[in-house]
Amino acid sequence: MKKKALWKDIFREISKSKMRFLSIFLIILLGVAFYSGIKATSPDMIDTADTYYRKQDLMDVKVLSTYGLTEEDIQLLEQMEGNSVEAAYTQDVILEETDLTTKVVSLPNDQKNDLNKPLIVEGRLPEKSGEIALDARSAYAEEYAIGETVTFKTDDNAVDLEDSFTGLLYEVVGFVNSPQFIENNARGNTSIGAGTLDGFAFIPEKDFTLDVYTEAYLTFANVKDSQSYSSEYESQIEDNQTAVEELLKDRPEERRDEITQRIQDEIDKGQAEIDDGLKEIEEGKQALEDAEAELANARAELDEGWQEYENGIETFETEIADGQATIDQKRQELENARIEIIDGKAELEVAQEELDESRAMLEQERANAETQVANSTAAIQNAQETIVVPINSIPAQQQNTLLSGAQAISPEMTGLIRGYFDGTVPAQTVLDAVNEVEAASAEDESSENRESLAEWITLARSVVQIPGMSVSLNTQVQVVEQLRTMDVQLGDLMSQYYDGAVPPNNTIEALSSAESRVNAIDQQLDAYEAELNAGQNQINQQRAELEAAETEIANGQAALEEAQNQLYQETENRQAELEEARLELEQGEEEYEDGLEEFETEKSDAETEIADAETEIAKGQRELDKAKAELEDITLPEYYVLDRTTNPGYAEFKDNAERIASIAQVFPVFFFLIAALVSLTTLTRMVDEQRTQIGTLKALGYTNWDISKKFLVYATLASLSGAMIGLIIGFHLFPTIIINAYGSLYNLSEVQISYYPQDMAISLLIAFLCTSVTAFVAVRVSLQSNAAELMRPKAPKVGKRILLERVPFIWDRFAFTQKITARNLFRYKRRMFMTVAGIAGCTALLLTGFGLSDSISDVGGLQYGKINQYDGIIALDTDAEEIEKEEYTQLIAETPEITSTLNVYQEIYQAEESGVNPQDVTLFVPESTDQLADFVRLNDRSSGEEYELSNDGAIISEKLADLFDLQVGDTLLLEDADNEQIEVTVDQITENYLQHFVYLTPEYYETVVGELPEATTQLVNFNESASWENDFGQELTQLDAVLGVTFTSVISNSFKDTLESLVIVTLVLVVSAALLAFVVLYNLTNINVSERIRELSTIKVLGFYDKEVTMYVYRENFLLTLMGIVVGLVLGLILHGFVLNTAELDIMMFSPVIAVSSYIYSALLTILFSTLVMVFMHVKLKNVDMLEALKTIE
Amino acid sequence: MAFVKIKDEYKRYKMGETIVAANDGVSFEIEEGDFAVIVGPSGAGKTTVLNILGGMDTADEGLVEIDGIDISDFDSKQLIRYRRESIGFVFQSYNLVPNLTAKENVELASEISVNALDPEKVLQEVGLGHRMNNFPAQLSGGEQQRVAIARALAKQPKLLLCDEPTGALDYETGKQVLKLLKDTCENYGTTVIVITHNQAITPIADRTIEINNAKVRKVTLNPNPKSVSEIEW
Repeated sequence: MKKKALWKDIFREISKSKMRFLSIFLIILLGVAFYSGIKATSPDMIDTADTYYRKQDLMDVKVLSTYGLTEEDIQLLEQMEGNSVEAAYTQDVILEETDLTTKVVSLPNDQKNDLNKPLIVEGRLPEKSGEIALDARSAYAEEYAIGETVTFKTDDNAVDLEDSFTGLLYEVVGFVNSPQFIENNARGNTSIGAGTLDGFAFIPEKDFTLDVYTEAYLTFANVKDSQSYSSEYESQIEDNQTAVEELLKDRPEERRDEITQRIQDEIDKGQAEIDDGLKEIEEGKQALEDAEAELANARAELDEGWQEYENGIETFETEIADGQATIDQKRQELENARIEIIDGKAELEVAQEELDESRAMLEQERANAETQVANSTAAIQNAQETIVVPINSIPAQQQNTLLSGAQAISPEMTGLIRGYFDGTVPAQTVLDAVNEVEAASAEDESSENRESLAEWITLARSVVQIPGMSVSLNTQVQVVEQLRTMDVQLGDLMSQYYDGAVPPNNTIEALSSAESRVNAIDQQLDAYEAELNAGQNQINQQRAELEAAETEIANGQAALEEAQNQLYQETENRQAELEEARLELEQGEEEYEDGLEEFETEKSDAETEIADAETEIAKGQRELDKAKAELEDITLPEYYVLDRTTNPGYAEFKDNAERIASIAQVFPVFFFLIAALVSLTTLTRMVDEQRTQIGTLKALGYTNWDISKKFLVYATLASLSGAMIGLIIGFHLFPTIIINAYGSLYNLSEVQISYYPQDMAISLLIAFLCTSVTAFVAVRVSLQSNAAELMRPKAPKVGKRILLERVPFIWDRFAFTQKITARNLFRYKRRMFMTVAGIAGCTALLLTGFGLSDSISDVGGLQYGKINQYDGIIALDTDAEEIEKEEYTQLIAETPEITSTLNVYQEIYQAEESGVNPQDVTLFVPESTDQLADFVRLNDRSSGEEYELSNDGAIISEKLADLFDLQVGDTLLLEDADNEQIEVTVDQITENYLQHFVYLTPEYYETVVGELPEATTQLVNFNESASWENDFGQELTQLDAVLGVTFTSVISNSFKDTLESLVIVTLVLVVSAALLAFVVLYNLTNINVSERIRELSTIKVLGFYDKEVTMYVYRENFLLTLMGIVVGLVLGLILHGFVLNTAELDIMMFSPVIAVSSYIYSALLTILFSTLVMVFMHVKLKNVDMLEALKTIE
Repeated sequence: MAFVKIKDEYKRYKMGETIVAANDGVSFEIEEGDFAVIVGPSGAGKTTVLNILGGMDTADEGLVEIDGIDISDFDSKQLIRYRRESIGFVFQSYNLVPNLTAKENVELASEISVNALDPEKVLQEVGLGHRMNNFPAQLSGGEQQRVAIARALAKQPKLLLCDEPTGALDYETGKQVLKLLKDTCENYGTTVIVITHNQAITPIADRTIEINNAKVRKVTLNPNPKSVSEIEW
């Protein structure tokens, strides 16, 4: 019997009620997907990591030693059966270009690289010397490109990178990930830079020149088949570690002896070198002193030269000045003489002029005088010619006759006649005298002689004649006139002569006198001329003299000029000489300066060299001392056999996977529960709706099984298809999303997806139970009624008064619509319950999601913001030298940014008790408790009451107390690394989230341990930026007294990063919960509406607006939503606590507090979905065919 | 001027591939205060006319004028408003809200109407003053229909539309309901349109519109309608 009609009916039913089918399908899909997906995530994470480790052959164990590993070590390790060994060099460097602190690891030369294979992200692995593959971390990939060069440097003075590498320049050939460093944000710690590694890099092994290997990697055959992180793997590795340790147990002694020998050799060599160096320094210093002395000599010489030069200049100047003065004086004299000559010349000219004038006058006078003289001479001659002296002119007998006659007369007459004759007596006088004598004779006639006398008188008269009588009158007048012109007296005289009144002698005399007088005039003129000539001569002489003087001056001048020239010449010569001297000096000076400079340079070089040498020697000495000290306290080399947990991120990854697993234990179950609940409601409703049909079928004679089949097929089809697709989506989607969320934290290869049969089976079973079985049961229950009963429509639920109506003062206050709502709410109690439960479930899931996010993200802030108040923790080397410690103290003291410090003794102890995992506990003993509150806050988590350390006991952290079930007053047993046990009394329990702490006062510590603690760490507070921290960190790590520095901000950040991935996980939860919430609300509302479609159509017909119709239904739904939210928040709080409890790790306590905002978000989101569903419903109601719904039921 | 005027009204339904006309050019008029009966066999298209008149459906073509307003091209919101303010419905299957008492069911209508009557008073007038606080399930069919009528009347509609109001009732109760409707028409002056397949009812109507096969076959005016008690079926 095929019952084709029945099957047709089944499929028609599905296509008719698409929405319902779809909602069952979706709810089951969501539930299954979420359940299976979240469940699968944790194993997928582990699988993903394991696959990656296997593919890259991650080592199982690595061996390190405090003194490096030698070939012997490696050979020894290789002896172990079934393992592979690979030795590697590593060196931490700083990349010069970027200051990235990088761990450089060697790649084996043979390219074999069996272990810890880097995964190439870009480019290739280094193949030849000088090539490097960098960490693919963005810090590197963003700064370097393939083909660029990286340069190594270090800030560790104790390390010379030249000793570690063949070269410091490398060409980037690729970017790689390493299975050793899966955590993106942490690459581990280092002793250089700021103390934190930024990344790693690979270079070929041949580029390393280290003497010893740094690390040896081992894998074991006996764990090949165990999955990483599995307990099987972990316990096997533990055994292997022990085996390796056993193998290496003799090595420390052997190594120590080797090293001791090597250091001793080195010390000897070093000492020799130092001695040589010291000698060289001495020599150098001597050479320097010599050079200095030489230079001083040169200086003195030069100074002397300068002095001479200065003197020379002075002398020269004096002499020149003197010479010039002399010349000038002479020149002055010459000038004076010249002036004198000029004056003389002038005078001479005047004299000449005068002379010339005189001469002219003379010439004039001479001309006049000569005329006069000539005239006068002529006149005189004329006159003289006319004068006759009688002696000469009368013949001598007459004369004698007369004279004898005169003598006879008288003597007088004789005198007169003689006078006459002599010309001394004028003729008249004689004649007068003769006349007289005559006269006298006449009278005297007597005389004897009278005839002689009168003969004589006649003779006298004839001989004595008047002159004029013999000279013509003209001549007389002419002569007289001429004479008169010449001389009036002479003329007169002449005339008198002529008249005879004057004797000729007188006249001659007068004439001769006049003649001589005329001659005198000439003479006088001549004298004058002579005088003039003399004057001329004098002038000429003077002129000659002047000319001589002029010549002399000219000569003098010439001489002077010559002297001047000579002076100039000399000046020039001397100057030239001086200049030459100066040049010579300057050259000397220059040479000296050069010498000096050279000396200075050489000196400073030499000094630098000496200083360097000294520093080096000092360093050498220190090193030597250190080496000696080292030699003295050479400790036994320690060999460490470390498993993978020392790889940054390795263990955390497991923690994260476990966290997800814990969440997966509760959350999806609850999720599934809600899905089941809703599908159950939906199917029950469906069976109710089909009541008439069930009855009809039953009446037609179909068996119960046949009738059930329809619902079974419907439900199974919906749920199983939903479950199948849900499984596929779940197994793929959730692990992918979550693992990829961790992808930002861990670099792993592709996500490994697996299908887990157990989860599949559970999912399918639950889906089947919730849908098919529910449907089957519901149908069976319905089928218990007989056909007739079934065929009658189920009487609508009788309206009933509700309890509230009996409280009139509330009820009466209700508006009409509110009354309706209230009554409706209570009419469908089951639906009310289901709706509230569904909404509550979704709200609870949302709240749990948000709450988890809160709890997780709060941890960092609380631990690093509230509990640990300090900003940095510096691990101190208690074995450091005093001077090194002093250096450290000084640095801290000289760093003003540091506001406070606290020395703390911190030591890891272990707490153990059966039934509890052993826990590492940090014993925290502050040097003083006064300031502790500035560094660590001890308080009760819920009350906030602050605690102070007392000497009565220890304050322990909350999680520790929880794990070991400790109350105040209990005792806690702790064991240190040397298995020494101590017992502490619990004084208080303090809020703490990460790790376990036991806080003690120094006094209490002493009581418990028996000795006072020495600070192993110093906590510091400051208020500075990350870059300051970085610089400060670098400074600190360079100190020998500092083992390491950890800044709270750094751990806080990295912790935040870790937890942010978890936040993404919670986001997945929230989104899933939100989706579920939506589907659930939609489904429940849908049921509500379809159940009451007739009622809704009625009010539509009555003229309710669409909005009013929607509100008619929604008022209830909204109330139910609110109720659901309230219940859901309470439920969420419980669920959150439950999830936290299971998700929490031993060393971590989540903050159990859910933020108020999360409550609000959860509620708001639920309301949002409710509103969204309302909008959907609104549209649906608007389009309801009221006529169809109101059709009379036939 | 007619209170209700339908002219050349068409309503077609798609039934698979073929188009079936439920109303094929229907035209008639009803005066204000008329007690009109639209009569015809099942499937004649009378319910379609009623739905169109009541604003629950729209005509494809033609004029539908109520009190001078053409509602034929009202949009959905205008139609709701029209239903809310102008129309009272009475269905064969009462369509009371089971979760509300008689009074509350009336209130459901009066709450949304502007000039609503007092629910209690209306209920008293339909003779249910004593059953006011009973839930529908506690009332007989006639009582339920009276509640339905009260609910329709409470809004003081211009037009009271009744779709086979007696269809689910026994003879006596049916008559009582009819009487109630007739009284309403007379007392309140409400225009009442009753749809029925029962020709026996027509004598009490002021106007009888016969519809058959989607068309108005005959409109009969009855100047002297009989009282309800006078008729029998």
